[in-house]
Amino acid sequence: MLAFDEFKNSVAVAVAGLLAAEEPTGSANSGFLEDPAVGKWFFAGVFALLIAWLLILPTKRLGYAKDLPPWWRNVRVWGVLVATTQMLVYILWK
Amino acid sequence: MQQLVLHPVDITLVVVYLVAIAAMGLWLSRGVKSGKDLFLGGRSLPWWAVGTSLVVSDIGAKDMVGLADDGYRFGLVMTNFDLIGCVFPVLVAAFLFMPYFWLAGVYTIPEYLGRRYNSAVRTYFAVIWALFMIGTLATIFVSAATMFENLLGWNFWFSVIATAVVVGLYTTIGGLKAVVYTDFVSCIVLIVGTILICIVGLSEVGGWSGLQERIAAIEGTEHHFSILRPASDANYPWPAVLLGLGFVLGPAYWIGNQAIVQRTFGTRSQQEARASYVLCAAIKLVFPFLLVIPGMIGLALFSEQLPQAGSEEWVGGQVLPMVVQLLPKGVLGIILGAFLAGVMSNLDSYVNSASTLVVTDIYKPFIHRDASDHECLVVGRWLVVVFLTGGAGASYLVITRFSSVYEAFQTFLSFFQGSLLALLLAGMLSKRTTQWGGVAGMLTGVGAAAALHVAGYLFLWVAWWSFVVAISTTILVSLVTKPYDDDRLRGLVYSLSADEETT
Repeated sequence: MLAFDEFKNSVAVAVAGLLAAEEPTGSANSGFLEDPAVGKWFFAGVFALLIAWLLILPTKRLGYAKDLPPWWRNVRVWGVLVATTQMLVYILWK
Repeated sequence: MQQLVLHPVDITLVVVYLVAIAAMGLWLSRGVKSGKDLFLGGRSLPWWAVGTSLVVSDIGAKDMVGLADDGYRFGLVMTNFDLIGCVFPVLVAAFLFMPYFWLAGVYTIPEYLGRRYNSAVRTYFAVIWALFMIGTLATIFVSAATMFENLLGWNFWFSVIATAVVVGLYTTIGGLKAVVYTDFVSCIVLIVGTILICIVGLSEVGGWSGLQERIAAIEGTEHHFSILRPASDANYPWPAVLLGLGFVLGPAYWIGNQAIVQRTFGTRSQQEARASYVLCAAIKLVFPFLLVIPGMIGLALFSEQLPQAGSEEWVGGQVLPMVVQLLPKGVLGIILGAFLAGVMSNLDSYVNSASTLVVTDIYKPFIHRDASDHECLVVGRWLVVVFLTGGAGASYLVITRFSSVYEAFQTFLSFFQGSLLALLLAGMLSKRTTQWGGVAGMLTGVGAAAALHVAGYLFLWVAWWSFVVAISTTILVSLVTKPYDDDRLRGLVYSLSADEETT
């Protein structure tokens, strides 16, 4: 049990150290990451990376046999649109 | 709680809806002659029907009841389960993972894992998924029965059995095609119903600003209108939401959940499968707000009648039945129809997928290897009955062990989603990942999840750290063991399938 307690503590320390976040089962910690206003940029960043990946994805990976379809039938366009909307929700919501 | 006496208009709407759905399901069952028809809809399903089916396979009765409860307790942070927890992984699944599953021509995710790793991994995840599906069916039964009990005064167990019989009838006969097309209707009814709840509820509290004012006056609600909560929050700290939900639970659910992915296997082409995922993501941009806001309306109006969230007296499932009592005659019938839609679409999706999983990954490999297609069809239909019965029985555990059905669902998931995602990622992205790396990652991931649960960690952290343990172990063991050769892995790994992409 002692070894498990040590493991648990080390996990908690790692989490707090990496994220300046709360110890999973315990007390609060302060740090600039504490603020959800900082968090929203991490969330928006995830979608920004996703959009960038969708834009550079080779066309052959999209499985189109010959020519690209018109934009309104192109799933890449719709995927980027959905991801952009989601990114804006995280940035703009208070 | 005061029970409702339904107006004849409401009753008529509910009966018409039930009869129409059952008739549609039975009509669609005409073409079901083989296991492929039952499990994959004959691979003839259109993207728009599959896209909406994906939405309501995820969102249903448990979400209407559970998210209203948790919207009451925690507010808008719960929308993350469908935003970062769905939109992000669904888009990744659509453009990265889905083509490989589709081209591999598999029926189930464990079948893919079996081809990529070995039969031990396949069987392990098949058994775990089957157990998880029984747990999920139980949460759906509890949601439905609680709603019927609170609203209509029906006996809890009568409600469970009645729901199981109605859904069992058309799912057993109609298979995936009936499930997907009835889900399309259910999705529309569900959206209309939840919009009506929000409109009526918000007008009752004085609009959005009125809702904000009323909730602000209640103690302990300072973060109810925030999508993200501080890192020190006890329940949903944003780093745990990002890492545990956004990077593990969400992707594992949308990439590795048989009940979800099976729908896309039933599309006509890889393009349609991808389009169905994107449609699902688009709908999910608005749906979570429609499910969480009713709970916040409940908080604004009924906080003095309901126990304080988190207190000993708190019992899940009470918020939505109180909110829908605000609705006028006729509208209530639509809401009950929407709720039934959610119950049926959730149940039919899970029982159909559970039956597919057991036939494909357990019955055929272990019980009757040479089973004919017709035999698989018959066994699949019997398994629908078995799973519905098992789910109904397991509802007892859910009502006695969990304060919220949504909590129960997420807790079940967090046990094995970390290791599942680790194996899918490592297996699909690197040909160097070995079968023994997969076995080690699977065992250590689930072991770590169990240990962290016992230690009392938040389920979001359990998911994240079990993923970290599983992927680390998979990589380390793979480095010291021998991988399969390229021919064995062609079509299963990202770097070995570029030539096969075009359909």
